[in-house]
Amino acid sequence: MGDSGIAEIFMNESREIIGNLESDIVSLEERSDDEELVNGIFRYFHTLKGSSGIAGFNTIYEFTHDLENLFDKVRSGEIGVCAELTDLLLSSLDWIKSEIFDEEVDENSSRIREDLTVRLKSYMGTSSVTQKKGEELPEQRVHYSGTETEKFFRITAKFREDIFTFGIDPLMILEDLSLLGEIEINKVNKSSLPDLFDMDPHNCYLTWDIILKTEHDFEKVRDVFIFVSDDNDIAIEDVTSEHSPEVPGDGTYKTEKKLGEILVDQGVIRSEDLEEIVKLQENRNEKIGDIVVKKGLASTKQVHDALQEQDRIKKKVEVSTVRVDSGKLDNLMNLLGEIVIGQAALHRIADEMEEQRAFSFKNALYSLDRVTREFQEQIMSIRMIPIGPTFEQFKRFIRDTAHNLGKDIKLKIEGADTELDKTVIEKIGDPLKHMIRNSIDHGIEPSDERVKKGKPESGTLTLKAYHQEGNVYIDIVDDGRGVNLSKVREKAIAKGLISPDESSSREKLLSILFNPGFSTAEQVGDLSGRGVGMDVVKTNIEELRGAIEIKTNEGEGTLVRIKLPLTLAIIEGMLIGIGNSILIIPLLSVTETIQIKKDDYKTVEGKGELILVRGEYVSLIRLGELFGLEAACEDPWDALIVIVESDGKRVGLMIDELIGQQQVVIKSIENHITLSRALSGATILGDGRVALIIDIHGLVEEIRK
Amino acid sequence: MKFEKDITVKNIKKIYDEIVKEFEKNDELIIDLTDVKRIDLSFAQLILAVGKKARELKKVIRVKGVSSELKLLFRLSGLKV
Repeated sequence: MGDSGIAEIFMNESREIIGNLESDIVSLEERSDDEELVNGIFRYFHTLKGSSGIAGFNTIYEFTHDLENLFDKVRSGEIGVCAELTDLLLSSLDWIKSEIFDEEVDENSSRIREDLTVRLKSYMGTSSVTQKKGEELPEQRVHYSGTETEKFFRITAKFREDIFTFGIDPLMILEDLSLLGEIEINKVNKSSLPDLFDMDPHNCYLTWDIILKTEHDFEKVRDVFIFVSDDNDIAIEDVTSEHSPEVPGDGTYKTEKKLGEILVDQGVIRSEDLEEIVKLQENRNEKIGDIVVKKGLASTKQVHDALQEQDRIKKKVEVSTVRVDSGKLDNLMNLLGEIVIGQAALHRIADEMEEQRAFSFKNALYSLDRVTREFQEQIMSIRMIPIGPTFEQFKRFIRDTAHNLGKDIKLKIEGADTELDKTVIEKIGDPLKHMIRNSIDHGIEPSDERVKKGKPESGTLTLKAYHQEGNVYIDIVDDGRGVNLSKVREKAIAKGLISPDESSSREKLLSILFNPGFSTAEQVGDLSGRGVGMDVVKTNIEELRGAIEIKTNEGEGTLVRIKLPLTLAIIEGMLIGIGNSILIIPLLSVTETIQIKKDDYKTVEGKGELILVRGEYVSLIRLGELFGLEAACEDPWDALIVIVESDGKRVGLMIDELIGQQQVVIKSIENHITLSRALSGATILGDGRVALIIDIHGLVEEIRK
Repeated sequence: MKFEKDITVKNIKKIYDEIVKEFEKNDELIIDLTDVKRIDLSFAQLILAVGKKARELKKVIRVKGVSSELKLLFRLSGLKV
């Protein structure tokens, strides 16, 4: 295995690639004629192969080489897509996954790989261009049915002497190159090869000068060298004009964008002029640029600029995305957090300054605030990633799980572009998987049962994400049996969770599903039914400052709704005072702040203190009492009441004073400091004091208990 | 000399030592690759170097059992096969 840093990058990258591959391969069963999908899968295999070589995972390199070859035949239409192929590709990915990620060495790994390789080769053997042992060289070439005309590329390659230490074999690269077409000329420079007795067999001594005839374009040829182009001398030149008799001398004629077209685009010449020039060029065998200048249609500079533009287009590389270690993003966010804290400190200092100076100082600070806020938004946007890939990775899981249970389930994905903080995405996978498993196992019925009920034969599982009121919602919807509430009630009574004479609401019964060890499954299956998990799912989601609820209609289906915050790092907070302490309420939860009259206050047995807010009684919570702080105000009508809302339920929080609002950086507080669900973290204020941040959802839950 | 399975940079030093040893001892050397599945550039270079040295010392080197896969790799390495 190669360098551990490279290996780590490879592992991160391959996790993503394999996830995408699994999803795309499953999609391919339904969309086998989707050219983009097929090409995408091929590219993923190619990238996986290249990066595994660089990282020193040689067995994976060789294995993915076979996979890439197989899929190339799918791409060229020689091999059709069917369930057998899907299974083979997915099993191959399973082996790659275990090889990369399993910490324990599987003693069967080599055998599994050999079996898979035999299957892959035999699958490729069905193709008409399969290369068999003993066949002569020309038959080894795979010719593509590309639509582009033939091109010639000159490739000069000088690899670094120590290239083998990076797990790269130049021969493999050249072999890949040969698959793109025909190597017409292969000049191998052996002058650097030392004497047999002096050579270090671990070094690379040869250099190449190759002419490749291919139907592929420049990018495709360049892609072959994608993993070595940075630190090796690789030059690729389109020399079609030198090798193709029907094309006149202007080398620019066959590039992506012709010089004449660029001049027309730039408004230097008219398209009518261009037609005439092209005709002239055919007769005179002159370069377009020369003709244009000679005819006085453009200056030498204009032609020069157009040539530069052409070069730019030709050399265009995909630099629109940069892969960054997510740890660096976390650090950036932490540093920004420190800046926010520092700014709060400066505001505090400004408050204590003499008026005139404070005015100018604060003005400067407000500008800084604006920039910091924008800075924060930018960092946040970098951290935001779409949920789509997370949804997509379940395609394989759903396919396999449904097959195992003999069910037919279609997955529908909505809102794949919805973005969430990367930390949330990383942590939401397991809870989602659990809920999906439940839907497949308990929710969606087998086809025969569905048909009897007059439902479509295939069940549908929908994963949907959307933004609403500063939160992200994820819905897992199935059109299955729904939750049998009477069964839930029976089990709950049997477990002593409710008394037989208690009339429980739908919500109450559904909330029981989240109790540890609660399950209505009659049989414990391989998948679910052990009653382990729903409580863990809920806890995991609440740790993300989210919430989960279930809605169900018996016989029609179930909806599990997960509500998550957009970000976990910085929130807009309302600073409130209780005695000498400062607490923070997330501003998103605050609906209003009021003062009440004595008449609007009452106590009701079993419900505690209530206050009248806009014609409705809501529970009053004395924050001082809840957190053991000494409050200045005794009576609610002397205090301020902050009305907050959680899951549609409003409560009033009694406070002494309202200090202001500011962005606060959430610092986690470990469990050994508090086990209270009413707190989500802490922040450092401008004066260096620590203020606790209230988790409104947790607080309401705590009060309910 | 008969080799088998894969000859790559991972085991090239051992193969190099064996070939050099045999090369020094004999005027004619036959390298049998019938059971070799895969080679990389390190082996192709070794064959190039040993061939060059053999020409210099008027020794004979024969490589036999070269499969079509290996032929392509040798050809890409500049060897005439």
